[in-house]
Amino acid sequence: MTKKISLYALFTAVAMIFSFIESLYSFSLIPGIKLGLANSAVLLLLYYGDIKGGILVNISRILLTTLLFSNPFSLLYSLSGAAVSMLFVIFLRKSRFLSVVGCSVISAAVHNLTQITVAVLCFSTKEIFFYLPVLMVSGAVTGFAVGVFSAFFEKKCGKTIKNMIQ
Amino acid sequence: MIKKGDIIVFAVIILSAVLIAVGLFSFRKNGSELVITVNNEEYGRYPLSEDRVIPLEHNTAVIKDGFAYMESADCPDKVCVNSPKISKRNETVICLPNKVLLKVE
Repeated sequence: MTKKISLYALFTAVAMIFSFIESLYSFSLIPGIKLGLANSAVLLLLYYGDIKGGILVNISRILLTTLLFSNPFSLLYSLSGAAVSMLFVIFLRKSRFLSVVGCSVISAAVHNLTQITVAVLCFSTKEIFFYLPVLMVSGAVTGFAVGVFSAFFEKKCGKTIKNMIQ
Repeated sequence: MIKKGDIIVFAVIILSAVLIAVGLFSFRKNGSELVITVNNEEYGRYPLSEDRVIPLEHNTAVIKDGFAYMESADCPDKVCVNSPKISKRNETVICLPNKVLLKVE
């Protein structure tokens, strides 16, 4: 039990560090786009079986990161994006056709789609949908990169992590 | 490590994005005025033909040379300030934290 708590705390801390590094500068010319490397911590837990842990770490790191580095208004977008994308990953992780990389791509794309939908609902202007193609492409690309990173990490440290989860 | 499904999903997403972009951008027309909406209520309409500085509570909008853009904002992420200038109908600049929307009509 203590092992699990320290593992989750570690994952949350690492996810927060990734978020902090990304907040230091924008990765591209397009506003609002980020790599989302912090998602790899969540993916590693969700994809390899620890659903409760994944949800816990994700909610913790979002709440903490937002309260520390951002304003609470963005919580609506972050949490809804995270919730829907996690649902997809939880359902798709067992598929034979997808690896962590595919799950990460879907996770990122769905996250962006959810955020844009929430924004449209809040602002009742469908013109925000112009941003949609940009978000989809960046979601797919960053999701792919984060997915490769997660898979690579799992190759190196997966056994250790799985032992701690059991 | 990477499976066939991953590539398919990636390609499908990119393809749909391109199709949507093509569809959206084939309907652009030049706009005549800037409409500013704050908190879902119309704040004002200003012709794009006249240079103007519009100070708002948390943001500053500017019209210059037929373009509109967000000059400054007190939000933490500054997405609105870094957004490209707008001039065509239905283009927008949006500040989510301060609930400000600039739209060309």
